[in-house]
Amino acid sequence: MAPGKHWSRVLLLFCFFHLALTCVALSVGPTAVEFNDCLTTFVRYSDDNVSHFAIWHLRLPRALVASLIGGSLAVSGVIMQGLTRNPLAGPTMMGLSPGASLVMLIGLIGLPNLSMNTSILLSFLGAFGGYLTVCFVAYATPGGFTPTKLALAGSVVSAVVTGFTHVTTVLFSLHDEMLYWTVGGIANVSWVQVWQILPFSLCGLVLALLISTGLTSLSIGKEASIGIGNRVTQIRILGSLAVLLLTSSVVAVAGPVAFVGLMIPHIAKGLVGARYTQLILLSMVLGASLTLLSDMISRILTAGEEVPLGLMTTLVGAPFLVYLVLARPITLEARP
Amino acid sequence: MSFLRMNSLLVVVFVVVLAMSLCFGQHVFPPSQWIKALISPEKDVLDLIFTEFRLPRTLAAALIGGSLALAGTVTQSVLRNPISEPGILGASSGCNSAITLAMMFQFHQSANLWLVPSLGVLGGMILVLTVVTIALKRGLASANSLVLVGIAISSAVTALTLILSLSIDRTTYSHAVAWMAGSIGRANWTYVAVLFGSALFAFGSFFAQSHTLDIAQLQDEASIGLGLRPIASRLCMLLLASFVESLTTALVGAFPFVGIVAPNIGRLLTSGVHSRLIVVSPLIGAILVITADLIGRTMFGPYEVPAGMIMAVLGGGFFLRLLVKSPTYRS
Repeated sequence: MAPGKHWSRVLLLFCFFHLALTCVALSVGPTAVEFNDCLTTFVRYSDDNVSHFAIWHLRLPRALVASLIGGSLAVSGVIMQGLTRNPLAGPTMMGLSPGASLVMLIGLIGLPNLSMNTSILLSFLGAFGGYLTVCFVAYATPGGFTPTKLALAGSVVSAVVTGFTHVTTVLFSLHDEMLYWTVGGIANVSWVQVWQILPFSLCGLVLALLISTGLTSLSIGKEASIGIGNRVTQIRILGSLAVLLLTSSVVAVAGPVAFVGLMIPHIAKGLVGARYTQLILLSMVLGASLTLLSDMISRILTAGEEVPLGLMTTLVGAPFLVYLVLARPITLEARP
Repeated sequence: MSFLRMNSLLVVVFVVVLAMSLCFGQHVFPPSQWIKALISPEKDVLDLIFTEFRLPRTLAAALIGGSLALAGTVTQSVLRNPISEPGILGASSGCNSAITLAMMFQFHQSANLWLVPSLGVLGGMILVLTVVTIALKRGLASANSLVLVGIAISSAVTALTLILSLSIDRTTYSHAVAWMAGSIGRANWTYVAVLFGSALFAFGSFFAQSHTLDIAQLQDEASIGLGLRPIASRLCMLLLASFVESLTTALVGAFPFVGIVAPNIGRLLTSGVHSRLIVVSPLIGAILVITADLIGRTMFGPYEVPAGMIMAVLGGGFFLRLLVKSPTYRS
């Protein structure tokens, strides 16, 4: 199948796959649930039924949060790689999660018993701050914006902030608290977290789709894009805004979840080619499936002590990417 | 600023930082004591502290910074990606996994002190060769497929190592973590000799190939046109850079950031021609790591903060300042 052709069929296929995956995710876990109960939860929910309770209050929000995280990170990865034109760019590289960790840590030192919501708010502010710093360096300095400058600013600001975090961790002996924030996880999520992520992700997705044709033209080249009649600066600023919306709330809730944002765009590009509307939609579904599948595997395989989500997404996604590079190297090349 | 003036300025800064690192620490050694400590036939405790700890540690820091910056420069040029470093092809993650495995089998208690580092280097090189073989499978080891395969495989191996290390007992685990965290504290004269040998070899090879590196930065078509075999030369350079990276990782742990930042500072300060870049970036890397180590062991009271962490703050801050001030950043 040539890339770009039949992309809607590929998208539909993965949508069904994701739906099936969600059904499986709802029915597996420590409490055995009959498939019948999965359906009746949605039609006639009763508080007395343990299965209904487990599905509605534990598994459904967790599955939704996992899907939202994966979808948002993957889409923001697509935009990042489009803006920086660098295959190594990803949302974790743009100062968001390092900023979140640092502000969280300072919060922990100031107020030792943070509530879950305060810590999420702090992380959100930190992610916001880290990202603004990166954007400031990339856009507002002499010489103006270049894709290389954005990529460099992102990786360097992240490293500096991470350095600060490590030094603070050593000086205040906060290793145990930090461990959670360096691997990320969604072990204790509820409906509250779904509503904390959903609005941001939706706005970000709409914005991403609005600028998707612009991104396609940018991938041919800045001059060509201007020639077609695109306003390049506008596309770049809207793209950065979309990344901020898509990633900050996710990072605040789940910590850094590695690999999804970096790798899913490449996998999607291998499947449908480099047109950004298709790429964004497919990445969203693929990212959601990968995170949901990884979360499910880590729940089943290691009952009790869960393998952190970020590690699992890497392990599940990496073989697939290697396979794609082997199967069709041409489509993964950056287009000049 | 002309290249000669900037280069001599860098050398001066390097010498000053080196001297400060020799001077300061828990015990202050003024320069007058250095000669005495080195040549006196009967060494007292202080002399021994200087010759057996302070001096090798400082030299090791300089060599580590220099080698990592060299490896980073070459990797960035060959992969045509300014945010890459040798670790991307799996050198450091392969090394770390091998060391964790070795510690699971209690190899670190063996009498042979070189067993664990050698296994580390072996692990790093095996992983890099795996990545290269997979990328070559279709006869197309292009820069981007190397980067993608490298990232996928090295992050999967890192994840596996982390999962594995969750299951080993706490003492062994803390040994492994301490080994990988990156500290120059365990440097001795043998380390210095080994690092010096590899750094010299790498510097010589890369300097001799600086012209090839200039061409390797271009698109494949252009470099073929100029008479280069892009895949062969790319792989040779990358393998040497990976070897340098796995060697330093196996000896002193990970310093992930030197390899990214020092070459980029070098690019901002010079025209980016490799015969100059290959000289300037190792100097910058050495200055950064010595300073980071000096700050890490003197400024934080009872604690000793690992140099890698200070390095990120220091080098990154300096680089950002350059990036903000530089009117034209050449990509």
